[in-house]
Amino acid sequence: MFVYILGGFLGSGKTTLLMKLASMYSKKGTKVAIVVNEAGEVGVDGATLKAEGYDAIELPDGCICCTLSGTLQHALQSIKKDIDPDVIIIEPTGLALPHKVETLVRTSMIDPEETIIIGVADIQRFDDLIKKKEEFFKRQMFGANFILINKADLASPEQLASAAAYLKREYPDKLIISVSNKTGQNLDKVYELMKE
Amino acid sequence: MSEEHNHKHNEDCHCQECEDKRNGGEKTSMEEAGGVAVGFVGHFHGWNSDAEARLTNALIVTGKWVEKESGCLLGHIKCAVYHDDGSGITLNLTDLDNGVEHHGVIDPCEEINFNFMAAVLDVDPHELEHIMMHAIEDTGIDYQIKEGHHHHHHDDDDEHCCCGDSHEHHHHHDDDNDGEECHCKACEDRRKEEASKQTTEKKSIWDKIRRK
Repeated sequence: MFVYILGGFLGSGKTTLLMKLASMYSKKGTKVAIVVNEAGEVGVDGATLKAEGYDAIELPDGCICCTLSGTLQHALQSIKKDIDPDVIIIEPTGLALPHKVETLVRTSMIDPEETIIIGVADIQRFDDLIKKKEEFFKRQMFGANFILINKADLASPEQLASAAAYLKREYPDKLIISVSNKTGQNLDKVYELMKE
Repeated sequence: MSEEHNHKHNEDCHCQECEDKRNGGEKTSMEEAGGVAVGFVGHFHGWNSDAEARLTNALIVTGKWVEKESGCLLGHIKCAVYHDDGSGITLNLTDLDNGVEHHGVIDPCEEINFNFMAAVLDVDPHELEHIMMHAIEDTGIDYQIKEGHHHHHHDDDDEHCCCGDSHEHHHHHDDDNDGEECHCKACEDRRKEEASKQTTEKKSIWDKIRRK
């Protein structure tokens, strides 16, 4: 079993990516379980996924990297026991620190073959986020196995090059791919990286 | 624990001390980011495409307020409108220039559920919730907020809303009705004023005793 954690700031496109990945796995006949977390008491992502035909375990009202850490581990154990999927995709809140979630997965006794963090950065608000919350953004990205610069269809080549240069400078060892969930640009490259 | 607290420090208490104790003194990731997440759930009555357009505007209004307050809209404002079987639509605002993204389709119906939430940075959560309430109210859609969710009423004649508008509010200062404590600025100010009055009165009593 492989566990994927989609890390990235609020509104970076994690839920849409999650649906694309779940759809890709479903087409291959891979059994996928989805866990979505919302910081607020009121969740919307669970409803979005349900409306699109996906069943997801929703963990609202807190953050799975800190306040809901026990709830996450319990949920993972239940998923392993009841569903025993080939892949679990976890979408933490956009305010979570993915490396903390990875630690919790590792210590939850579900014994995944590998836990992989996909970092998602929103090119449209990249500069604003760096300007206002650079340290937090870096903490979100540093544990990622690879980083996607999302919404590439909405950015100029210069904007993409600048963001890629920043990420390459900060994370020289990480693979960085510009993608668009909307147009499907480079998603095939992401699918190739996904294990099952 | 501070002795100044009058409320019970039980599992439902969300004062800073209790939250810190729960998190072992560590900041949560949300606190680290300076993020807030608020929302409420309820029902719309008389749903159709016009209502969807009005609701879209509610998200825009909320987004503009966040942008004005914090300098830019970093985060998302979302609304799910759905039937009991889960089918429905979601509206998502992450960028004011792009507008609200719509996912899914629903036919007109008499009654439908909704979840309205915002997770953004650097704004006051109570004010944000307040603005969201206004935004829903101003759509003109017939709605009902599910019980248990915070809903203010500014029915007081002499009170003005923090949003600066002069329109009527439908928030309740519910302390007496359902045990829910309102934390809007007006209520917090009133509490402070009452606390300061009590301190003054106590001082005068002790003064009298001392004089005796």
